[in-house]
Amino acid sequence: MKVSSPVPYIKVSLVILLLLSPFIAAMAANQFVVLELQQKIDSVEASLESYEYEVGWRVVFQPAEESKECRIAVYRQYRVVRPPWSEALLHEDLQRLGFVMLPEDGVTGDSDASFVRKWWLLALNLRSSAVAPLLDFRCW
Amino acid sequence: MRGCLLFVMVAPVLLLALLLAPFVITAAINDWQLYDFAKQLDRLDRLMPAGSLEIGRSSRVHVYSNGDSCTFTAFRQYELGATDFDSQDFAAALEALRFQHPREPDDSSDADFSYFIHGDLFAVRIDSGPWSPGFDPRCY
Repeated sequence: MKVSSPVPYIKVSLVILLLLSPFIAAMAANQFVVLELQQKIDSVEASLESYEYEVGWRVVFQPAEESKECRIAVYRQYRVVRPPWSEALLHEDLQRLGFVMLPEDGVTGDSDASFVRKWWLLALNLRSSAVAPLLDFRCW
Repeated sequence: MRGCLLFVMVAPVLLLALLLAPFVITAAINDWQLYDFAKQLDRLDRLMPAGSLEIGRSSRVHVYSNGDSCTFTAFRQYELGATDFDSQDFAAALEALRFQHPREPDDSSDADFSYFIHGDLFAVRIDSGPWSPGFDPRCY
């Protein structure tokens, strides 16, 4: 019985890995941007009370066809019910961290760091500057 | 002798499982009811203006009122893609929505449904409760 050598398989695997490595590296680099954005939101979360909780989140890769750019948006929302004095402190904290409060007729896309505070909800929106779009399939 | 040893090892595990069963089973039933309850919000997807993006969702069983009771709550948040949609039609379609309770109610009421639009943020919430807590530890 002829025993086949594993060498061709290893070579093929290495070639595939070599071909994929730029894509993997681009994805990893962009994932650091996601982590950076999430850390900024975590610093807001630290100033929320323990009884206030997260009600949703999403990370979205947003390719822009006309400019060939790709940006990363991180959305996170909390249920927040606060007394008036504590509400003012929350706004102060958010503004200190660079979040701009969106007015009633504002559009989230206008600012890279924005928040909406209404009724029971605190919505935080963060957008990165343009990231490498070509090699990260999430930007396609 | 071996049978006796086996009994000594298995009996405490069985006893513990028997003691925990009401809590685990009640929590699992509530989770199943919560899943069905929150799934009703999928109906929003076909009402949303073109280009809208879901930016967060969650649901929970919790104590909302005073005293031991279970409340089911589901949240969903969207970024509205366009601001030039017919907001009156959209509001009318939302007002026509009815959501069922996760458990059989004494009367023919619907679950509480509330929403708001702030700029391009659209947030929805449905609540049902208070219900009997049973053995669910989240309701105490």
